[in-house]
Amino acid sequence: MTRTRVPAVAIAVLAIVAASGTGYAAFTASAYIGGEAAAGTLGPLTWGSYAAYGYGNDLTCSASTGATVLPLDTLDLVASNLVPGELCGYAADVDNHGSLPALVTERITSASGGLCSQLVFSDLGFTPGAPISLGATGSNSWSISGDSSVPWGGSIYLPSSASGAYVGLSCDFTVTLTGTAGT
Amino acid sequence: MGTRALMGLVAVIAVVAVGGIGFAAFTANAYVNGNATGGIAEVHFSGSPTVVNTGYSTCTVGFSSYDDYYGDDNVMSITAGAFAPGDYCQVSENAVNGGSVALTVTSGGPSITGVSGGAGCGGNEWTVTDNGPWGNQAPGATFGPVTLKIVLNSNAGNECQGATASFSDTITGTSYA
Repeated sequence: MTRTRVPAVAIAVLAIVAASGTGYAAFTASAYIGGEAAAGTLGPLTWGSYAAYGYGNDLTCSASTGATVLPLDTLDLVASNLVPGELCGYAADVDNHGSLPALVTERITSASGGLCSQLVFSDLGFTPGAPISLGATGSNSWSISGDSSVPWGGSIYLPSSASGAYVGLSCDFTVTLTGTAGT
Repeated sequence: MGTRALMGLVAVIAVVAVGGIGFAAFTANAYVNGNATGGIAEVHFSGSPTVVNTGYSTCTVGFSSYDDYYGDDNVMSITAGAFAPGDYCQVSENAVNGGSVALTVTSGGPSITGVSGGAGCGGNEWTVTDNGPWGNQAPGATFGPVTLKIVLNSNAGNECQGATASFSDTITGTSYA
């Protein structure tokens, strides 16, 4: 009897076909989801959609806008010739140029002692007020909607209890407003 | 062989060929006629989506059809923003095995396909997830909901301000015997 010899190559091909599962198929159908998600922008916060100003009796109270990092990001307040019991008041607008609402917190930094130990600063965050030299953090967080502004009012007050020991002294301080968004 | 003999043989063969002499049989036949049609695999979205979004973000959803056997809505497009860190948009939508064959429904795995804008914001600042797989679904079955969630991670910083992330996901039904 004649035996047919199967070539080794043919066996290899069969093995590959068997191993690869060739010959199996299935129907498939798909649904798709696609999209875009955009992050908003926060700030910058600036002053001055309306001109800032200061007011008080028998003393010099002024407010002006300037730049610390960005144009118009700083409100400079001046209270001169204060005597015990006097107050300088200020008004301005703070603008949120971002698309996200900014939750604003505040912090005062200043030198300690001297006149700074006597002055009290008050505004939306420091209500009713905080002694400037304590480096206090604003306790009343407030929100500014995106692309909008809010009126801001503040004051610097020298309490009646201040003694003559502070005559001629000055106090430099900074109030930093920080806007945050997110959780 | 002589000519006469040869002619005689030819004549006999001719007679046999014409008359079929010597072979006959009864025959009967039965027949099978058939028609086989391939089934249809199809998956589409159905109903109104449920949207959950956080913070001040917005989230809108639209539907369209792409290469669907019946032209049904099998593409869901989500537009979300403006996110602050930690904000998310979550969309839930029912799906239907609209074909004629049973399907095993799986997720292709949602992914961030690109991030534009921002200042160094990348795919690590975003997370997109779904709730697949969705198991075996008989023809006509409504399943899900299919839920997709896109998040701007809480640890995203200012580098992601103004950034836009693109994402995609595929829900695939595969026939099974």
